[in-house]
Amino acid sequence: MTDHASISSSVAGFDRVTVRYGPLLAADAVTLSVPRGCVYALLGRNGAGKSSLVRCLLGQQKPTAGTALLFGKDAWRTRRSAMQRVGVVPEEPDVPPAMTAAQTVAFCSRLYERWDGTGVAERLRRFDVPTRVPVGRLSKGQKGQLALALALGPQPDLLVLDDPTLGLDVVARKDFYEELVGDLADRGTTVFITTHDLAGVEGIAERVGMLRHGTLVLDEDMEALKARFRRIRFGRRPAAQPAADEALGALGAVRVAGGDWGFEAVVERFGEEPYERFTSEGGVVDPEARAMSLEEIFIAVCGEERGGAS
Amino acid sequence: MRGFLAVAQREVVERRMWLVAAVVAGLIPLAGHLLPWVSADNAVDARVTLALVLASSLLVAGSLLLGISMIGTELGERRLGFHFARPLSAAAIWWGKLTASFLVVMLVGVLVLLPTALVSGRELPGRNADDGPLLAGLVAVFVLLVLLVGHALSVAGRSRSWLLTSDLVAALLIGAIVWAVAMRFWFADSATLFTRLVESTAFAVLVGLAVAGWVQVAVGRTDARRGHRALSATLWGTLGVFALAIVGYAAWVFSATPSSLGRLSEVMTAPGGSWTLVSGSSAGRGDFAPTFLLDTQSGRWLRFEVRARWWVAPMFSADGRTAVWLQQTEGGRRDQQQVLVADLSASQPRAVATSLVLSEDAWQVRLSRSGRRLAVIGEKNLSVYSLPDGGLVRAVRVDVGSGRVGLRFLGEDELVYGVWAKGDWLNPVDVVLRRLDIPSGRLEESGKLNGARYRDFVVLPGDPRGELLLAFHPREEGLELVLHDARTGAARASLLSQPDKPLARAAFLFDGRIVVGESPAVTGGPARVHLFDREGRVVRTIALETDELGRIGSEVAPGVSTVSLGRDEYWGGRNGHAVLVNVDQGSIQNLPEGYLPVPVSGWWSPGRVPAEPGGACARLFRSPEGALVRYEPTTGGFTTILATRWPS
Repeated sequence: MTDHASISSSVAGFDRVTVRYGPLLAADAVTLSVPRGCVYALLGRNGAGKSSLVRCLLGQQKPTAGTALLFGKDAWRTRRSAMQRVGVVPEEPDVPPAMTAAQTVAFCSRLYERWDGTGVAERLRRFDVPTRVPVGRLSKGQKGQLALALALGPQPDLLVLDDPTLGLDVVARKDFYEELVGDLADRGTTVFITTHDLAGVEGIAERVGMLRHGTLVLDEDMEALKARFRRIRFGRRPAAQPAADEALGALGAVRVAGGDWGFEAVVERFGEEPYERFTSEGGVVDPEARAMSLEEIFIAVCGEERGGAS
Repeated sequence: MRGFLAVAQREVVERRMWLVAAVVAGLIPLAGHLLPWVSADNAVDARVTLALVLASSLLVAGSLLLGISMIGTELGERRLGFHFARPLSAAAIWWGKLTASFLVVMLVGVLVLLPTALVSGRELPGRNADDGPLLAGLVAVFVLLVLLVGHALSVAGRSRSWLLTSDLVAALLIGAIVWAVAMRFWFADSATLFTRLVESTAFAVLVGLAVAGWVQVAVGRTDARRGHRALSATLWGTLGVFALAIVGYAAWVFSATPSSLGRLSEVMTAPGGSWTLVSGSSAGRGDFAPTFLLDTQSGRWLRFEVRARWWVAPMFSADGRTAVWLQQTEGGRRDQQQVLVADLSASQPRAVATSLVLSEDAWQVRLSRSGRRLAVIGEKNLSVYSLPDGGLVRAVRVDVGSGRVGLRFLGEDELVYGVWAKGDWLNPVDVVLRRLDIPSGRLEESGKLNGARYRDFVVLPGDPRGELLLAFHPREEGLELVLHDARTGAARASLLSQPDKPLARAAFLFDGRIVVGESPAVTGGPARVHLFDREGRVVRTIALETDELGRIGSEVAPGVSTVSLGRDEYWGGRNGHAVLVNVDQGSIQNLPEGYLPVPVSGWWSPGRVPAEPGGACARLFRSPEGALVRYEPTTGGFTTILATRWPS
């Protein structure tokens, strides 16, 4: 579990953050930390509370309870100074639509101490973002690239991306992540990203958190996460059912489905030893364990009500 | 500061189309003379009018729309995060946007008017150096107010929360409080306090809205509802404190006591007894004049709180034990006046509202000597009521028409009124006198008084019994002072010709004899005081060594009149002194320098009778320092009643 000390020393973190909108609980005592240099992906279905947490982290919204921290300090109180070191790509492009990209860049360049004007201009040129056209008339992809360029402009220590590829086509998403990966490779920027684009983020995220109805149900390294989740297909003889079920339970089955073709179980505590024990049960026939994608794991964790099925 | 400038500059750039529109709009009036209904003669007027209409329209529309969109639009479209994701303080965001919006709107006004100003600048309002800055300042305040109101409405509207209801309640509550205080000042004839209240309310609203906007941005940030809560709490908190402050201030203003009076401006004595009305200014109370009925002997007092004080004066009974006055009814209608009575002989006198409410037809109201009858005359009715019950004693039809009227009691059962055509204040008028016998209700023409100067007929006092009156008649050379029979108007005697300043120089003694002063300017020698008997015959003439004759005051003792010498400015003077003239013996006694008889106001009231000789009210003076003092004949000294002072 994330403790208070690790939150305080992290680049970004949440310490028992709760967000309420009247009777609606958007986030329930969420605690997590994003270590320096880490790419942290916060996943959750629509309405899970991701954007509320992002706004809290950016000091734009005061949590109902708890504290969102940036560089170890209360984000609500230190927002202005912290934003010198933070780049933000919002869920929806929020650049004033009447302004051109050039005017927007000029505006932002006056506000940051470490503004990389050359890099911003280079990115905009590379992605053919017109700089003399009002932002309101740019395509969604161009707006996204402009937002990323503006976010990277101050050479941030932390990049906060709130579902940045929402609504982008496949090519634009690919360009976006390539640009992001390039920057990460160059500077090792810490990234906090919320997204529904699980395939896109799977290749770059080092740590994953999953929100379910405002509760953080998962927070661990991507490698460990992928290592402990498996999809197991098997057949079995009816006489051996109790022993097989017990062995499957030891693997942490979160979902079991059956059909004419046999059974399929998603397990969350996969390990060689318990798997050996499961396969060695007399009743289990043709077992096959397969690694799961992040999307599959997300669906298993957040997609439906958890629980086994016989 | 860098953030503030960046935000302001960005905002101006974003609003630049308003400036373009203003430039285009500014050119339109130059073609105003091409309008089909505009002739060559009024081309300039048409151009200026068109420019003003366009500028006003764009100022109002610009203020409102920019106010609404300044923060509200970005908040509603979830784009305010663009600013909060930058290292910008809430102050830089708010004040930067507000300043830029304000400048854009003001610039719009300038750009619209500029072409017309260059072509027809002399015709534009505010072109003078005197009123230009004031007009520009008023426009700036208006623009800022509309901007801020637009912003507040926009934020409140977008939050769509129950707070809108509480906003409405708070606005109504505070508005009602301010209105109530403003009306209290207004009906207390405190134009300065009323104006200051309006100005301070505008200032409080401006400051409240501006600070509330800042707090909303700082606390609410991108959260519309939280922002609305912050805005409402700050705005209504600020205006609530302001409302409490003005309520407290108003309570303090109206809690003045006679000792609060700093400078006396009015004294109106009762004919008998020791009660007098005193009024004056009080430090910190602006132009509000606290007014009291004060017993100069015991120090008891009664707050004389009436709405629209400027036209209300108390009427006293001859013995000074009853005071009667009119007051607008609670509804504030000036044509509905309630009659109030105070029994001044009570240990704790208080005003009692009678059931008598007079209508707009009440042109003149008079109290009988006993204080038990009230006569009211209007355009078509003459009514007599009994007090304090308000019962109708007699009512007769009269036809005053559109003329003027003067009314007086000649006793408890007899009334005389005079009617004359409206004319110039100083021109002679012909007065028709009519007499009403109250018990029988018989109304008859009793006489005429021709050629009397209207002002003097009204101004000069009558004798205590109401049987005689003095009037000045314009003659070829100067004026003639004539003693008339008040009932028939018949001239009894011509007292003097060419008297100057008739207002202050003639007075009835309590027994009906007449004292008339002639200044050196009239006599060509020393000032003189003449004593006439009731028939207008000269009894005695007394010379006074003075360059200038002041007023003739009350009798500090029977037959001993007070006459002020030297230049006696009505209320503002400090200099001069008075003498006591014993008209029976012809002797003169000097009073200490600077002690002058108080000018007894209410002089516009026909039928005012002199104070009882030797009574407390007949011995009121003001000291050299401006205090209200009473002359003590036994010691020759003065007793301070109110330690009021001339302004330093």
